[in-house]
Amino acid sequence: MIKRRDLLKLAAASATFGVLSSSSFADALDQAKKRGTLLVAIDPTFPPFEFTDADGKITGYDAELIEAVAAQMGLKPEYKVMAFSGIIPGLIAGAFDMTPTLNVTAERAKKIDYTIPTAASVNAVLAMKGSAIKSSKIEDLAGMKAAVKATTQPEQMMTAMNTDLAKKSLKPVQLFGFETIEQTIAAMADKRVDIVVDDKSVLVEATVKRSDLPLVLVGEIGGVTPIAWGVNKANSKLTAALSDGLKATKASGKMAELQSKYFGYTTDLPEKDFIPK
Amino acid sequence: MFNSQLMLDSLPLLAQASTVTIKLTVFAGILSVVLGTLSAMAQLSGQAPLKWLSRAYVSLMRGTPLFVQLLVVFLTLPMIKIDNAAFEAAVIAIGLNSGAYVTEIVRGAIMAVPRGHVEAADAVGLSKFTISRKIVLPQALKTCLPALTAEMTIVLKSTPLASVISVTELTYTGVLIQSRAFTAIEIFLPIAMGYILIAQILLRLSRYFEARLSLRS
Amino acid sequence: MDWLAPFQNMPALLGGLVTTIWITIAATICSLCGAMLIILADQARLRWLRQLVRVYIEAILGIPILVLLYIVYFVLPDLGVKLGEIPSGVLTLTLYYSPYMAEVLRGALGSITTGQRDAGRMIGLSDFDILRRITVPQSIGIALPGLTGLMIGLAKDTAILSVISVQEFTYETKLVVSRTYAPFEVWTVVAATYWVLLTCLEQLTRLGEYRLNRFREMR
Repeated sequence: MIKRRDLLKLAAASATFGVLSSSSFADALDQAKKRGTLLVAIDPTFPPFEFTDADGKITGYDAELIEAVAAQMGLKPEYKVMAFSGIIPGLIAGAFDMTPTLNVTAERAKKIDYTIPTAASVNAVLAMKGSAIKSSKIEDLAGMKAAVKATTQPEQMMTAMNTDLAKKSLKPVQLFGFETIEQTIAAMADKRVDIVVDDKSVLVEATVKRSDLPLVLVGEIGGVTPIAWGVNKANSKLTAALSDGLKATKASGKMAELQSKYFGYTTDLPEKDFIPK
Repeated sequence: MFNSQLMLDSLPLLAQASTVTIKLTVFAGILSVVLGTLSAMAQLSGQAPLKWLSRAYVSLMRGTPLFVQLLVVFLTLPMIKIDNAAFEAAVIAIGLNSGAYVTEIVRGAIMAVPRGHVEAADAVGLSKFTISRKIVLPQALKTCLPALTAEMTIVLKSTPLASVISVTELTYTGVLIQSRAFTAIEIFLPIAMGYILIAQILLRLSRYFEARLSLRS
Repeated sequence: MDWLAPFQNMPALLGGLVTTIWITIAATICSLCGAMLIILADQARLRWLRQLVRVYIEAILGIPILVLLYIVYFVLPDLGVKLGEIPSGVLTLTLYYSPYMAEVLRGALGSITTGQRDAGRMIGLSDFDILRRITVPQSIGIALPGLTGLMIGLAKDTAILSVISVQEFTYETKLVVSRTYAPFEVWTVVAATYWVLLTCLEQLTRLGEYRLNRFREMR
């Protein structure tokens, strides 16, 4: 005999299941449109890509691109500011709609989706003038102390290069991970580390902004990787909409204008097959 | 060289950020006291499952770092389809964490209420519920007010962790200013002062309430 | 869900855990010393010393430990004091926890009734002997629960050192998460690890408490 209690439990269970599953296929794009805002996770300590101005407003190359694309979609960007180490985990958990300035790697592409590239990145090595570094080749950096932004692709790249050094019986590069670029440079200025490794445009910007310090760009390290915006894999509609918005900024010349403004040069970026294998 | 202009220019931003800190502290504090009191009563209720539940809650909250608790709450909410709730997640995590410590505080205070009062109320015919509400709890809360205030100060001091889940409060705002101003002392000193100030206000408020409550009884 | 991820990366995580453990031990020992210094300073004859210690304690009680860490690591070098990452971390933890430990110790020492001390004096024990044979042994038992709680808090607070690049448990976890893209699974396993270790620590000290207090006179 089916008791009333069991029927109630069954009803409650199916209602819950219904609620949970019915919205599980709603793309983030639809939710964003309902909300009127685009949830953007961002770490604004990375000039010229994203940084805060004197009033605390978030600005920079990617920030302006986001504003342009969001406006086209009829949305306003709502920034969720946090240290980079928390951004990709949050994106994977579905806490944000998107995040800018991600290096495109094969590993990441398995777990998140990318829009079309917004920039090209090559990493570089920054040191103090007068340091004994010969070049930015990994062999010449063996045994040194390097500051990096914690959990970023430059840190992962250096970790991979350390295994190469080990194979050649050279001392590894000691890595120190900080939350912001400024902290990595402060660490070097305080002689806690010998070099800083990160995106070249960011380091170039740092030499300009910190003209009070004797900084010198030693050279590039690692290959060129595209930079794109990251979206959770479940939201393909959103990824497509963002990519369309970016294509529109290319067509209207806005992207080139922003590139000149923030990098001093323009780059041709691929729209297909840009994900490394 | 101390750049006092920078410090002055940063003050508006820092003041605005401290409202986030204060809101976090107040909401998490309220949640913490409510949860802690319920949990303490559960432990003293004599009912085994309630007691076990409360003990498990306290053990879990005290045995794991708040940092990890914040992350787990933040990463779980989207799974149950709650979107864009970083501030709420922070309030919940900090409140839950602090509630475990409040449990112990309130439990001790409830046990310290003289049995005579409870027995007298019972003899007069008041229900168990009314006894709790009108006799035991008011006295208990008054007794543990200093300890509760100390716990609220700890809640205040744990708000910087909320920045890990994108709640930009006072400390992280300082990090952001540091990242474009390239200097630390002009920013972190005012921030330290800010926290001390808020803590002092908490202390004064608590002393005021303590005095008022003593007057009444 | 990728529940294998945390276990596949155990070596890296355990390396960080070892660092956390010995930083906890080092900082606890330093904080106990700091606590004793604070208690001594309170009895000092120099008034400015007592005032200074009081200001220090008032300040610490209001500042979040993360802000203190930023000050120790980023501000002190500007004032000429540059410490490495781990020393900065241990110093921050010590500065933060010494006042709390001092409170616990003070309470414990004060609870040894003057009656016992007078009795000791009467049978001819020197002040030092009284300390050694009567006050301290009993105080340890009384102070242990409070100190354990603080030590557990300290162990959890070592996580903040990850922001100044110390490769302890939390830092390694962040790296593993960024490699495996399985944040929920990895953090859950890490939380469970913390819980198991800290609960064991608490149980051990409860055992120690029982054994130390077995023969204490009950009032």
